[in-house]
Amino acid sequence: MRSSSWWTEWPTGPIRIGVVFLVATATIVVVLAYPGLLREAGDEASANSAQAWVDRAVAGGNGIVANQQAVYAARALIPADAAYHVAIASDYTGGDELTQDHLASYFRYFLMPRRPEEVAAWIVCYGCDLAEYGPDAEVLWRGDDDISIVHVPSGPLTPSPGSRF
Amino acid sequence: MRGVSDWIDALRLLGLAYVAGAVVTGSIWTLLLIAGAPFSFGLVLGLPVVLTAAFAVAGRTRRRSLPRGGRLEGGSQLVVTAIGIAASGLLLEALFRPARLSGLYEFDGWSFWVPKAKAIYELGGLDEQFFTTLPGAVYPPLVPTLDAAAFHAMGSADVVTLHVQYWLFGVGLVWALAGLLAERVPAWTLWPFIVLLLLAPRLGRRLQIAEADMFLDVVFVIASVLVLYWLLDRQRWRLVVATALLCGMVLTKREGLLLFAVLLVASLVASAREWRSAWPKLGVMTAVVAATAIPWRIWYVTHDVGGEGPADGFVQGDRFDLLGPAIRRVLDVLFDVGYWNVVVPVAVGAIALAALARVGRMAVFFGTLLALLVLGGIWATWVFSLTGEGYVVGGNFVIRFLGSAALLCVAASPLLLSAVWAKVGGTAAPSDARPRRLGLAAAIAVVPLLAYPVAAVAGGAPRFPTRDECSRPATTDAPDLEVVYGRFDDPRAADDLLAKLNAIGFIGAEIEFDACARWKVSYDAIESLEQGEALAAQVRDAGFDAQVEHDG
Repeated sequence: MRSSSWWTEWPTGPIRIGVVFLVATATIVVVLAYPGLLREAGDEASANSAQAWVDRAVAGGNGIVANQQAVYAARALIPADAAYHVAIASDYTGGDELTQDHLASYFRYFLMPRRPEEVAAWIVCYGCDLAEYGPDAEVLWRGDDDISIVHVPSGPLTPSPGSRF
Repeated sequence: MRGVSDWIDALRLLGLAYVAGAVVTGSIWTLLLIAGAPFSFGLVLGLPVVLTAAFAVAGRTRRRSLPRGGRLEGGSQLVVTAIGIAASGLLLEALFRPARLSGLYEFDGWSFWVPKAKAIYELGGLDEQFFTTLPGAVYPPLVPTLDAAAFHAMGSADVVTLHVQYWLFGVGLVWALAGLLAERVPAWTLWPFIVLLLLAPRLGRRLQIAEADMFLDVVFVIASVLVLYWLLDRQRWRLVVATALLCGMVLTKREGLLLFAVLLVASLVASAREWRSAWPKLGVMTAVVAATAIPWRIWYVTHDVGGEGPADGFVQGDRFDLLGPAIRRVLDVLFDVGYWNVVVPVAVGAIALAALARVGRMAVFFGTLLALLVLGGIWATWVFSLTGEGYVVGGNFVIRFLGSAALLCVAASPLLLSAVWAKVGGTAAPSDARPRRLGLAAAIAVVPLLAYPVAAVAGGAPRFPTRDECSRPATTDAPDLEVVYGRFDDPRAADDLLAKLNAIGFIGAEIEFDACARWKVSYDAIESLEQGEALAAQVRDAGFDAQVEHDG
């Protein structure tokens, strides 16, 4: 046990008190915050575990792709070595606020190793005017939210003016 | 290479060995990729084997023997160590649970870090199209390479299980840091800060995030501690391992270059009095790190990717109006307890006490390093900030960058406080005089680590979801019965089956996208198991598959 003078002698006493204070602060914060993190991690684990398989797989895309079927249909229909183009009409109102800006980016992640191109025979259409892709355009899948997957057998086309990549 | 005297020493340094091994292996993989080598499973498996064999031969040549025996220091230190191991281990166990089944939600994760990893895994190298057009194209590919190696090990680009790799990096960080600091810090000072690391929201909760920030910070802080130790005791292995880690750091993110510069300057300042002996070795370290950094920079320059520096120059005269807001933003973030808890104020207090107690080199090193990190953060915030409506000065960048400063504070605080304590006469009693309490310490460390998983499992067995989990065979008391004719990855196959069933008179079936991302053809107007079995039998007689399931 240290004497009281050991804690008060100048200049080392206040420094000793400072060390004890800082270690005690860290220890007290640990004691106070510890149960919260345990609880939080448990809650998050339960939420992750309760998720549907597809919700977990699409994850960050759930707020972007408007319809989970679209990404899986694209993956099933577009060959792994093919190129594709994601076209989204500028007035497309499906999805949410992230859809316009991040849709193509999410498809790029999800469809790899398929390659995104400005012009391609495979087109993922969000709110497009399909007639613009010509009479050869074959709609291979059409989902809710005005989403289609189109193949143009005759070859790549220039994307419509109202579309963007 | 260092040699370990006993098993306690080996156990203490195991975390450092893991982090160093991951960084060295990842760095060599990365350099091979840059050189154009295909990233095959053979390379993923072969390089660690070759490195292990090479280091074993080198250790043998240097007459390193296997560790023998080992004796734990007894007394209250041992009990506190046991409490610390239990507390941090329990948190790591808790963090493993959400990591195991976490989807890839992080924006930068799915936007470019993991796509780069998928490109390496799927296409076998640094595919020019993806690596020049993905966001963050200028970032070096070490972390995506480690991710791609994990994909090879898992057999698929499993972005959910990938989070476990990041959790393992977190375990490596905690272990390496605790093991290194334990050399100089008594247990009562060490463990509160190690646990605090896990509790700080932007540190502990982000260990399993599939991005490169935490990995960068981990490597930087461990390398910093090793460089400091080298400055203090000049054991050569410390500088060798630090150099290896810093090579990995400059292959991780562009901030790695800034962090290296900051660490180098702090090391030069802290060793100014012995510059004749220290600076040449720091020069060699710099040369090795630069040689490792250059190939990636050649790769992106030759592939027309924009540079890592600010587009308008390192000093931007037309942005001086942003300097004040940048300084405020950096200080606000640095002292925000919502991000780092009390880690930073405690470290600042520790530096102040160290200066008062004239602890010397350690205070100079950490003080300079922290000051330079803050200045670096201010500079980067000033020159890189996007401006205009909707933008916050520094944005998310400054929070990411200052993670390195906060993590450094976690390492600095216990080192400084224990050095101050020793300097002002608070030295503990000799360890041999104390009772050993080995049994008590073992119980304290092990029981909670075993009890937590048992308690978690008691609350419900862990799930191991697969894509087949949506197929649930019916039982007599199951709700929502249906007869399922098939599940398909391709929606056209589902359409075909439905058409065939309709053609032979099985009317009423529908196609539905199920929770396992397959198109399901089923008939759901089933009242009872018997009715369902009868319908399924008829469909099977007609040459199709059918099974009664429940949808509940």
